[in-house]
Amino acid sequence: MKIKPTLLIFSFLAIAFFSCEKEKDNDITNNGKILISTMLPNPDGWSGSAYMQLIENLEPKSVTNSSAIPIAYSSVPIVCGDDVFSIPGWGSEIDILTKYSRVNGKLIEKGEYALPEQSWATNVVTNGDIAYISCPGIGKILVINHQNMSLVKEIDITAYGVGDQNPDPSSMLIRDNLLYVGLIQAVGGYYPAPERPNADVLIVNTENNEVIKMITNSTVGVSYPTRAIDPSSIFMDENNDIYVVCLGGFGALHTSGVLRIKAGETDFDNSYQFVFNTTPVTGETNPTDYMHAVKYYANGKMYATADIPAYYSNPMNYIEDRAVLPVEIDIYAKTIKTIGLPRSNAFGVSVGMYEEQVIFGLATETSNGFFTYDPSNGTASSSAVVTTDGYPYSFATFE
Amino acid sequence: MQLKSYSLICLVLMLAITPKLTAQTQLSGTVTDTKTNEPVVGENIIIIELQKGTITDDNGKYNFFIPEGKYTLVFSSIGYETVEKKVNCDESEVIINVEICESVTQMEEVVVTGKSEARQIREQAMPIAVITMNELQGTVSDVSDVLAKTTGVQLRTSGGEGSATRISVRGLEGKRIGFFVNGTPMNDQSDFLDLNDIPIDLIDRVEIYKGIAPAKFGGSAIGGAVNIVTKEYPPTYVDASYTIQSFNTHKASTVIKSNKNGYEAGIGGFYTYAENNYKMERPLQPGKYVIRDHDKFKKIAIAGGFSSKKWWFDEVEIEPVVLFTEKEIQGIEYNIQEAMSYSTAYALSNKNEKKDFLIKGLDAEFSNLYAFTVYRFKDKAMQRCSWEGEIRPPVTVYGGEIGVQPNDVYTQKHSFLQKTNLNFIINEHNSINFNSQYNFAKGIPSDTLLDKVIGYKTLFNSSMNSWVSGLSHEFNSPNKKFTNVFTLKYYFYSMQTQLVDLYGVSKIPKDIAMNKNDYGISNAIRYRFSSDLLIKSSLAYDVRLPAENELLGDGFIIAPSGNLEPERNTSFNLGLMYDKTNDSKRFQIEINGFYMQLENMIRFTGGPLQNKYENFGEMRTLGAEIETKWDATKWLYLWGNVTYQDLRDTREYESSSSVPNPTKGDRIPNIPYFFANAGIELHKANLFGGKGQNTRWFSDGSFVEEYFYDFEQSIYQERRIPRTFTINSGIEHSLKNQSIYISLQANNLTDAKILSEFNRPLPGRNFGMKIRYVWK
Repeated sequence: MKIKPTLLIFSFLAIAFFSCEKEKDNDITNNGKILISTMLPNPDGWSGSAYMQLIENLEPKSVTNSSAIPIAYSSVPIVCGDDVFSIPGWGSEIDILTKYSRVNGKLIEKGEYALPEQSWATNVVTNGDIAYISCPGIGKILVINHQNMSLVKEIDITAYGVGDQNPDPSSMLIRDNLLYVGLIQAVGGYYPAPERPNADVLIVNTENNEVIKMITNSTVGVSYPTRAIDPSSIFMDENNDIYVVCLGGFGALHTSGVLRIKAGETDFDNSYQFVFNTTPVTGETNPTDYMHAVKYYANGKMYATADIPAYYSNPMNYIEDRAVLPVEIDIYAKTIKTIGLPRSNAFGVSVGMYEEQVIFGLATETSNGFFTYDPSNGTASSSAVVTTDGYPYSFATFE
Repeated sequence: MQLKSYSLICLVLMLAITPKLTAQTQLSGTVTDTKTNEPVVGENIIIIELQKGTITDDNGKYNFFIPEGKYTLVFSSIGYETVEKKVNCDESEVIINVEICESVTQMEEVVVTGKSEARQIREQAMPIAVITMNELQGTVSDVSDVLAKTTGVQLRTSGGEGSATRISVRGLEGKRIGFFVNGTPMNDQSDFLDLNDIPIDLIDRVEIYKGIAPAKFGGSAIGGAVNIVTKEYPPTYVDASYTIQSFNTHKASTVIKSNKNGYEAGIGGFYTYAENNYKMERPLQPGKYVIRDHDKFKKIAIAGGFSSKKWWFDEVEIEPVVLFTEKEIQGIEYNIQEAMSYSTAYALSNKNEKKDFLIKGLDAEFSNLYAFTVYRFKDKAMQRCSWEGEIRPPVTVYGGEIGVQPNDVYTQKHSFLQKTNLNFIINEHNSINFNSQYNFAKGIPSDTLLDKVIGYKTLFNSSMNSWVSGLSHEFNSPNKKFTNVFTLKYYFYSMQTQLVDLYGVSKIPKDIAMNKNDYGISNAIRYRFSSDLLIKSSLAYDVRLPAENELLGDGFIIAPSGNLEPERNTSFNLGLMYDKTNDSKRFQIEINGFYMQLENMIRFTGGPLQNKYENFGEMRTLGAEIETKWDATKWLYLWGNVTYQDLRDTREYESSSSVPNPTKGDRIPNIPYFFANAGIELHKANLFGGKGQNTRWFSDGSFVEEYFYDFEQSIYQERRIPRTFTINSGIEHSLKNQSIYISLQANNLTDAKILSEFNRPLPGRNFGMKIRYVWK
């Protein structure tokens, strides 16, 4: 049988095409230093799609999702060094954690780990080859070796649940071989119990992966420590003090604010509490009730997207209402001030850093994308420098 | 397959009601139109001496088994002269063929005569498809299997027997498509009666209205409507069937009806039991399979009927109905072992019809329906269980295994529906129709467990009033070639209830009262080039008022949205239909092109605090569909259809901003856009010898092109619903002149993997067998 040349060419093309598809690397750049993610709701409103991709810099441009990597709709990709973890989050798309690594400025898939069903993995932190995964769906923290994607241990923390048997582990941080885990303590799914305005943090020894203790702050009515989809909501400053940003049940139930665990300590610092609800926002006439997302900059300066309830219509319209305001917070001086960036809706709330600039992912009335703010001179971009197709959901820079 | 005791009981019942058929004459024949020579369908034939009657089938044929003797046969129907025949039945088989003439006086009152009711409906000016009894009766499956093979229709089924089924007509679905049984709206009763619940054997036809729902149905269904018309049985009739299918599925249905001195009484019902224990791939853990083990479904329905033709109204009908449903909740993403729902419905309906009501030419129909329903949903498990068998704590201290809260829902509802339809024939060419549908519902919900968990009461009593009225005018040209139907509809909706603040910050519930009203308008034209060829076109500008749950939310995580605007749909249809049917042979071909623009789409929107429904988005649909049915020979029937529907996002900008919409022009996700069906049927009388037997073998295939679950954005996008091609095949053999039917069917012969939505696994290859007995 004679094979026609065109058939051969077609076969090679087909092989080339499918090979490329399997590699699933991010083609947009060969020198990606920034990881952005975007999200687009579907017409049904219940579901949607989210994508992540690398971009080289913050020169003005429009970024589409045409060669972006799909991720779970309800999660943000977690950057740990040069590794990126894509996790299912609270959605019900797939119970698989996928690890990518940035190699030569491109994202390359390195491996997968099958998570327990209903784990709702929302946050990852790494300590060498070990990764800790918080799973609020089952009240566990998984310890895996992310080099060979094998399970090291499951830390069952259901005994620390207050009001039910699940303390809802959220964002985490490692300091001095101790893993600090924010516990949301939601009762009935979404909110903490109204009668318990406390903030709990679990401390785990990373040397033996045993729980040391749960610490509780009940001094100022602050609850809901850390936001599950904001890995920056628990951080350390230059003094190695840990700051825990609390949402207070989205500001409606309890107060929101910041708590501290000082360097070398394993208890809350009762001399420090910063309550957002009662702190005036300089440059804004209306108060804030909680911070959607935060990013610590330096010298006590933290940048955040503040929720300003006065800008919601009645009833609220999360897409049309522009009630999220970029602000600068001085966690030492306990002040909040506006920085001249426009308000966004509740789907564009991300904060990140690139070089010396602070980056806000906002969905404003005129543009969707990443806006810049330069703390050195206080200048802010009037529109998105990098515009996105869909809502700008997260921004992370590789060190 | 386990044969349960109730199945045996059903078989015993069937045998018990089988009358003796010995020493009888078979009297049969065909009724045809003198002028056209076409068979007359639905002609009433009464044997005066026996007070026994029947109607002609789609081929104009009738059939009696009667004792030997002399009888008087009366042939009558609307639009035809009544014919009386004396018959001497002194042999075992007597054939009486009758030709009948159109009635001059009646002709003024009917638009089309001498054609089957199904064909008359198909030839209406509005876009419509009709599935007839003939197309239904061979199948062992559900209505949805038959509907899914219809042009422009997709069924979004979430699982096996008893699972929720969403009808999609030309890409619009959910609340945008009305679901009616004999013109009574059922959309709000889906917890009690689903499309698939109605046994095939009780159905006369299924009407699928595309783009326009007729004014007579009421309701605000902007995308169209599916109306299931149950059989009008002959005066004396027994019909019983029993079906056994894969996954331990058993179905039994029966109808018994008797007529005496102008009064009719009947009783019927059905019973369905299914375990739905089919194998499925766990959608969130690819490559891992489980047998569904918590998906049992049980439904019992019993209905009675009494009608009189001797009172002031021409006909009065009274029908009580009771329905009991029990359903286990099958986990798809996660293993669910205890959650269940129960529903009970008690309904009493009454219909009164009168021609020349008050004045000559005015036909009136008044229907009333009262229903009391109870719906329970229990999710109280005190532990959760993973697919691997790991035991985990429940979602709260009070239990629960679904989502994040437990539930113990107990909802009572009183509903009252009053429908009035008045049709007035002004003259030979003009008639007007007024339709009014008033609906009152009082809901008494409670979820004591959820209240206990979140610390405040979430559900409050509500009452709802709605009134939908339609006024339409129909014009027929003197030569009957041109028909125009203009319709104006008015919608009114009001609701009263109470709500508390999120988190119960204020413990005192606030009174909520809202009302909405709007209007819709449509016009449909039909022009008949000849008796076989016609063109039709329609234009509609219609609304769907927001539904109760969209306006009120759930009192907890879904916030109320009292400011929702109605959805508005503009639709246009242009169709060409050729239908050459004679001598029991048909060749039909229908081509339709359609356009729709849906604005103010109501959609769910997730938010950081609460979710809610919002007016968000618009989409445009352009599509075409073609369908053909052909009796190639007396024993070979071929059919096929192809649908292409292109639904696109047409929003210029993101909502309330000048940001260009990134999905403008993109295909609307999660809606099939190209699908086709085709089938072949062979049928032959007395294939295996003997007489009074008929054998049908049929096979059909369905194709659905791959489509995306999300907006198509990235070359790496993997969330796709794969292309599917499924083949079903079956055989039906009838004995004793269509008194006994035996059917066998195999579905999904190639065991293709079928997903509904993104990850709802549907059954693989499955089999069924049905036996049916009819006596009339």
